[in-house]
Amino acid sequence: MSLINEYKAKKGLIRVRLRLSDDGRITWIRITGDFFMYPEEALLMLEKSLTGVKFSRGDVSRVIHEFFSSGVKVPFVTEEDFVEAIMGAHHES
Amino acid sequence: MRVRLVEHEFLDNPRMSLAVEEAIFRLMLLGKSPPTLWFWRHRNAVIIGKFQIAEEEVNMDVVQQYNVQIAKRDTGGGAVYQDLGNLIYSVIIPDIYGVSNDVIRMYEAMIKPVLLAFKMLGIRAESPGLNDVEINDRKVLGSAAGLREGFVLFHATMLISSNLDMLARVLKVPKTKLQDKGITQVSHRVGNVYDLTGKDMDDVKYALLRGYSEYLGFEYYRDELTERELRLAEYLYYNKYNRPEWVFGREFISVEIPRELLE
Repeated sequence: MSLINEYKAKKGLIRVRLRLSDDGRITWIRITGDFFMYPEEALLMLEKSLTGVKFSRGDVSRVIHEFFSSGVKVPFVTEEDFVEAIMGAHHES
Repeated sequence: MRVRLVEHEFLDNPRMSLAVEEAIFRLMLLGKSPPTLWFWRHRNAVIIGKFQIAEEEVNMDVVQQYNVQIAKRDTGGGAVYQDLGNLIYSVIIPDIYGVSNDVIRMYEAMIKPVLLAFKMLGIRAESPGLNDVEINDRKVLGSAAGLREGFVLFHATMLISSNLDMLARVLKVPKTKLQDKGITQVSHRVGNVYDLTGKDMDDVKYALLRGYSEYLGFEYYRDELTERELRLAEYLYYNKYNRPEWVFGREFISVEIPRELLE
């Protein structure tokens, strides 16, 4: 199942595309947008750590929280923004 | 700080411009390129951010119709349209100001000189979003930066007298982004410095030099790009910036540089 979302954070747009398995786990996710992230390569780590995770607010929030706690800097974009961007993913209309 | 002032343009090859930037940055990290302020432009180009996908940001049919060159830079942020009315510049320096470990302070240090430059021209400019500059609520400058321990690569692009209709046609600006600002068209969000203030490209360039000089203590000497920079840029061009998976995909390419290119 393919889902998509376009989420506007205070500063920056986050686009999410993801695929779910039958049992509701993220099998693939790609996050794009006009935000900033330091170091830049951390975005790939984030996608990797979200892969295999259950598509539920609790599980996704935990992964995002760990990511932000690792010292990555995402100016003007909050943990909640990323959680909303991902959990708001819906069928492409 | 003594800063090399470069004016060298690859008007029809934005991918090469970006390769040159990375070459200067990499060589500066090795102590082989001097602190640099570089002015450059493009004739008809779109540059997208590192975390963006070209087809999500750019109207591909318009790009083909008008032969717009697409390139992707190595820093975050959004897509920009650039023609000859758009001034681009890079500040590539060692961080003697102690701001490279604090993104917010780094942007302040790089944007304040721009506000100062406009002040010297008698123009009130503001930076509500920290990495952009507005005059009369119109965005005239956007910027992005790459940070390495103790070093900064900052680049900015300023609308002086660009074709804003073309900009609006080329860029796909998400409705969510404009609604946020209470407007319906990107051409109501951005503005040209010349239209807003009557100042032209040369006025702005000169003011920028003074702004950076006063705020960050730059002392300029004019010079060219070095052979070493151009050789490394060419390597980065072929191995990164001109590769379709970089420009159109979202692959992060880390290039191993042959030793001889760094010597």
